[in-house]
Amino acid sequence: MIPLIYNEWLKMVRKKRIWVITLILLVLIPIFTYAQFRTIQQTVAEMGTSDWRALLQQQIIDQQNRLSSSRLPEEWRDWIKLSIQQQQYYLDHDINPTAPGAPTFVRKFIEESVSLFLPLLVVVLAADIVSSEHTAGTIKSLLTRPVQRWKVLLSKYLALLLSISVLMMITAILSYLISGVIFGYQGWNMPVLTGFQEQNGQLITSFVHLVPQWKYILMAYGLAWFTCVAVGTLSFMVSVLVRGTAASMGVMLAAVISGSLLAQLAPTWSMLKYFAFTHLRLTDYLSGKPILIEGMSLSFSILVLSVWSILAILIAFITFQRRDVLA
Amino acid sequence: MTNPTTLLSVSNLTKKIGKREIVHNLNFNVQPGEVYGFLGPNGAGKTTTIRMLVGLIRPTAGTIQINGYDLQRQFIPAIRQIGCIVENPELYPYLTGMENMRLFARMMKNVSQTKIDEVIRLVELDQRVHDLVKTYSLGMKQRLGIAQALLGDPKLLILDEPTNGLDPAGIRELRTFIRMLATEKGISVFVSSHILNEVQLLCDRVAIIHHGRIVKTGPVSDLIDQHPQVEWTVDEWEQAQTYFKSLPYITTIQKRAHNILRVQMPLEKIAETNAKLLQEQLHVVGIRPYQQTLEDIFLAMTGGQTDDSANL
Amino acid sequence: MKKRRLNWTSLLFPLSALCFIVLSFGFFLSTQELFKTTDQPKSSGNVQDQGSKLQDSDLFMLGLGDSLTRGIGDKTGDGYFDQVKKTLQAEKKGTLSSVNLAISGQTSSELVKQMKQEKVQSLIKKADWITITIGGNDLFRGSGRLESIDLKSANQSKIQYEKNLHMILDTITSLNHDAVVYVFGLYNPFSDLADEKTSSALVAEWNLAIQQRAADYDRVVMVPTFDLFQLQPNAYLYSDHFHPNQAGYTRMANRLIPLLQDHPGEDTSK
Repeated sequence: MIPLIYNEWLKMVRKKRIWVITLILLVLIPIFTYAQFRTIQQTVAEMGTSDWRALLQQQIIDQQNRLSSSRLPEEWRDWIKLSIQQQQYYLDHDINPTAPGAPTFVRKFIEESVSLFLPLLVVVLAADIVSSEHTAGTIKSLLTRPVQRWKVLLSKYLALLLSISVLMMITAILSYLISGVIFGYQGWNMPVLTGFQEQNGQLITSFVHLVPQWKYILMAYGLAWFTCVAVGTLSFMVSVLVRGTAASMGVMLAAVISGSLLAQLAPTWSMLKYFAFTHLRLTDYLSGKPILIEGMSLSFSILVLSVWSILAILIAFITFQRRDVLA
Repeated sequence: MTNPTTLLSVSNLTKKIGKREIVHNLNFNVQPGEVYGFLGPNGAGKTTTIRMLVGLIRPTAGTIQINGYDLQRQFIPAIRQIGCIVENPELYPYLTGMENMRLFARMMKNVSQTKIDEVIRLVELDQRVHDLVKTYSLGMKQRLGIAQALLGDPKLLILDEPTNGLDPAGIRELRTFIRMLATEKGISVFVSSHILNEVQLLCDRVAIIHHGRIVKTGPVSDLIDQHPQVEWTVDEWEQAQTYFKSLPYITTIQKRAHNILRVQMPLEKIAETNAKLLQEQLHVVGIRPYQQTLEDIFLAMTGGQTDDSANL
Repeated sequence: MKKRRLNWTSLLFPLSALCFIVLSFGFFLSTQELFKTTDQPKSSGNVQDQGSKLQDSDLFMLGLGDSLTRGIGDKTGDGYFDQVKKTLQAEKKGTLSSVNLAISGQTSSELVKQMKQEKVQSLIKKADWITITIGGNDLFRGSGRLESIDLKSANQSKIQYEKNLHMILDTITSLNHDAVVYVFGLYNPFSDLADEKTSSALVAEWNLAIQQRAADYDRVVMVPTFDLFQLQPNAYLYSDHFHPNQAGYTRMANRLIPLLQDHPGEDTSK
């Protein structure tokens, strides 16, 4: 099995797509770093102070003012209230949530990119992993070997998982190296709060505790990895079902983007919680950012993503095993 | 079919896609060490049949046995007997020739680097094997394709239209190569083609497929000798035609141009016939054994039976 | 060169497996972390639910005014209003409902406008208790800076404020003559600053105005707050030095609760 996985891995690496993605990251991360830097600078300039406590205070008051607008929908009101509480918690415990430093950027970057940016990259990586073999005709060379079809497909899937892992690692390493130029490389041991929970619209802080930032980052990337694997699995199925690279990529991009938009547009539509792409923001459970749609929890999200992934794998394998290779 | 020396045995092979029957009830056998031609015009079902032989398409009915293994039920041991190129030699253009070979080698058991080097030498690619495949000419790709097909020491090589796109020199080279494989290495080769001439030059036996049915199987010599035709150019063609009709060994007479008659007759009778025509004071301007085309053979084989020919 | 490229790829392969293991470990760790905490359910709610459904038979408390009634500065978001509500609910076993109509940053003129809304009026009619904080924004004009207090304009706004307060209380009593109205007095958030005397004098003047207005009605009660924040402003004010903090709100609530219990809404007289 390992030689087969190595074969697929070799193709993925030599097709250069993963390096194109690395290039995209190399361009975007400095931009995000600079944007983050500008934001901090600007807030400091506006406040006339670089005291983060004052900044946090101002943020809380801004949020409270938003809260007082009577036109605010109830969902948003709850959401803002919860995040005010959390910021207050940071303030009271003298914890700087935006403490600059490359590890903080790494953490923020994954929290923000897990909902759309990384899934899109994963789609680019995965959407034609099988269909490209059809397009190029190499599927014929592949399936006329003394290897069972499901093994061929499995090796492709595992190679995809490896590539996704590498993609995440590259994201982490690049965002650390690049942002460190501006923010400095310190801060791995900075304590970060986690363990926020929501129950019936209430933020439960009794489990809140501190973990060192490196551990938090490891966990956040682990969750983001799970998200990306789920997205990759679904793309994988699409690449089995759809012949053309453009078509399979189009289908997946539409699904990912609409998923992340729908979650924000229609938080009251509870059916959405059975849709895989509204569960991409797994890291929110870690950071304690309030969840928009009611009835969502980490276990529920993981369950939904797992069910979709398992179904996708079944469909992919059954189709691939049975299908005639006509063209 | 029960012949123990049969390498490839196809029986009652049928494929339907939707309601359309692409291939209908094929039966043929390939013996060890022979070059077997699979002849038919484009769209006759050759490619579908070949894809069934290599396991890319499931037959709707019928069985394929390769060296005694049933392809459906014992895919791995059955496919191990085969090396193939389906349509084009499908290789990864972004890998080098050697990387392609190693990649395919990893998909089989017990293929050593020595074996890889050996087949690459065999197809004379050792100069360019470390270059990316996308820089190869079609002929080189074809050779690399054959090299990868030979990796697993196959007993049967299946080639789908191998001369497509090759220049005449390349075609001749390939022909010699295939012959060499069959005679020196004892590998059976199953070649599909739509060019009669090619099959004639290359194959020992042939199956002719038309509209998804096999219309004829047998040794190539049979096929050609069965209905030899001779074109006679005679100025007084009407008299010649009457005379030909009187000869017992002449079966059909067709008028081609204003003074050309194409008749079906044994080639060994040409001299005798010519002498007789001279005796009849008929001036024979030219005699030419006619190179049959595939269409001619179909025509000859189905001639007269209008019902059947409609089906074919 | 070709040779090296090949080695590079094969070196990356085990590395990619390592990435896979590290990330899946991270995932495992985070599920451990997050599930571990759910294993031991513990009830700890420090957020109220914004329950605002009215039940006719229950006592009903209405909040009007500015950020103080809204609860700005209290990290739980409760403010005196919800603290009072919770305390009373705990005592009365949930027969109390409430609606908080306060808007942070609201001035008395804006409150007058707000009270013209049909919805607001209908809620006023249903109320048993009405609590109001208003005037802070008139006086400090939002900026909350002592330097900006211009005595002359402050005097002018005081006249306007008195007029508004009169209108507000008139409207309430005409809509609902049974409800008891509690108007909080103003406090001086700058009592620890140098110019304390000026600001305190000003606040006292305004408080006097509130007192006088309140005296015009028998069911309007003024609840003073000046004293609560006078000596230890830092202990009871939020870090913005303007709003009360949680403890400050608790003090306000503690002052209000006994007064509410004096007039338990005349039960269900309406």
